Amino acid sequence: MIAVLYSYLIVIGGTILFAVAWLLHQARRQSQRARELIRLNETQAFDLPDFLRASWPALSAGGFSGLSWHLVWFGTDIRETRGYRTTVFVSRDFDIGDIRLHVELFMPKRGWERSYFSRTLAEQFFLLLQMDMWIKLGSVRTTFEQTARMSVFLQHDIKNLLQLTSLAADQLTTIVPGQEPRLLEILKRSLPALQQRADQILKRLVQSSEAQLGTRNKAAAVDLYTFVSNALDLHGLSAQLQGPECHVLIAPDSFQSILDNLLGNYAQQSQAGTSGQMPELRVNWQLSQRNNDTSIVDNSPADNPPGIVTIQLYDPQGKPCLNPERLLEPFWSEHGSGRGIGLFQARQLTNQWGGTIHIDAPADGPLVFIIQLPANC
Amino acid sequence: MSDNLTPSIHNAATDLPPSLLLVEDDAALRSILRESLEMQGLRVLEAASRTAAMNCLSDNPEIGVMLIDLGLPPAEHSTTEGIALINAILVNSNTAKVIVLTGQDEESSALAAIREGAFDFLAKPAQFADILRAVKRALLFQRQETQMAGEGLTRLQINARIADGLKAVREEAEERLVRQVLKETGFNVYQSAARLGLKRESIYYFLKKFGINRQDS
Repeated sequence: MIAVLYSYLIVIGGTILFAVAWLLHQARRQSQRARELIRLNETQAFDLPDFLRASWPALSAGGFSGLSWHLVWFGTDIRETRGYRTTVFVSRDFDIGDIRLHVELFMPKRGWERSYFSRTLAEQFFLLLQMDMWIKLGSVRTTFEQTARMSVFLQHDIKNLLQLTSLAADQLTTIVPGQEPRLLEILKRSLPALQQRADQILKRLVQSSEAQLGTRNKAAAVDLYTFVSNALDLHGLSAQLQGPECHVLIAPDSFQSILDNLLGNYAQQSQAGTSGQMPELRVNWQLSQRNNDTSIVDNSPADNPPGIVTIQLYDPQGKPCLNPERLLEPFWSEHGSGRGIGLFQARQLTNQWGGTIHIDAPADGPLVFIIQLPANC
Repeated sequence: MSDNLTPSIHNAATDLPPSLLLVEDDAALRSILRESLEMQGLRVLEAASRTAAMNCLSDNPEIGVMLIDLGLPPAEHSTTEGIALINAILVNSNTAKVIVLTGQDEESSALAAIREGAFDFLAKPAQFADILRAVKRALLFQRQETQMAGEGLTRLQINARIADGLKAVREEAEERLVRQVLKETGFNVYQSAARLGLKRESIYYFLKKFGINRQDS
């Protein structure tokens, strides 16, 4: 009796073991298919139409008999089918912004366990499709926001330029008798200002496109002390400068822009404050030999830059920064009205010249900008 | 524009040219605008920010007309600083005349400026003749209202939301009037009470109610 029971138990145990092994094998296979889909989505640059078209081989290998979709992609209808249709299918509808998608995955009639794994794979596929939609819409939205912000900034500058021109023209057309010499003096002063204004607008546009497109001018050996002193004067800031003689290997225009963006922040903050007092900043720097392990100057345009200069910029009386992670984020502005691109642009330019910008934001101390650039030791 | 404005707006009482505060963050524009206005016989003081403007006004209390840009640092591309400046000016003076000259979005900026009590609104780029006309009108109004104030008459401008009812309107009018009289008497509670026909205790009550302190005046 017991011998018979044993043989049954062995058969049942063997069957369970086989079933578990089979299920594990299936799970591993489906997991492999899911990973393939994820990798495929990456190679298609998260582009929804391309991913839909390229996904069929992986889905077919995952046990589906057909794939059909109806995509409305920014107003354009696309209907496509792969494989063949059956009566068993899973479908999903997405409607996000300007993208609508109805997708169906067909399965051959088969056991519940295969169907279960296929449905799991289908859910993962749908998740990837949804993710691609959000990525596309996010990038479109960001581009429009960026364009709109840039347009607002340009409008402001150009309206001021127009106002300046208009005033100069008005003065010329309606000269008050006896005021001619004074008018000449005004024009002598205002016309260079007009030219400077137009130059600034052009420079801002060029720098913006350079930072975004990654182009750069010729590097030069820029005297750090002189350059920082001039930039501080330009922003009406004062600072204690401390460091050895140093020449940074960078295009003067790019370095000027980096410093403008960093120092402009301090100037604006003090103007926003109630006292209107400009802070007394600290700018310290030190030189070090290039370490072959570091990637800091790998991107430097200079041939084998001999060293790295590490510059620390901070306001010793400054308050702790509440959201340091946001400072270098593009299009984030503390007061909501800025372009939110200044510090981001400074970082882009620094990176282009083989350097880095980091932020040290202790909870109980002032924010410190740490800028590393290739330099002559 | 060729008619120099000096004769019509000259302050005969003080024999000083009429003064104007120009608040503009663009140094080049500020410079040419100041020169152009000075050529018309005005005394022009400059400021590049809200803080600088308020400091200038506290140092030169005789200034009654301001020509301001709404986009001021640190928020040059929004109207927040300019609107805050209008508010700060008009809280302290009922007779101050603020002319807005701005490149910000015309519709929304004009609405915001008028709501805060701006006297006039000009969109950039504006013709100098239009700017001058607005300045001339503002100086005339300001002078007349100052004269009226000397005769014990005060012109109040308040924004009333009908749905808030009479109480809200009365309170805003009370606050403006009390602030104005306190400013005119140099925060002298006794004189202010006498001018308003109130007891001193009532003035102290209003000071507490509206949170007015000596610095405000």
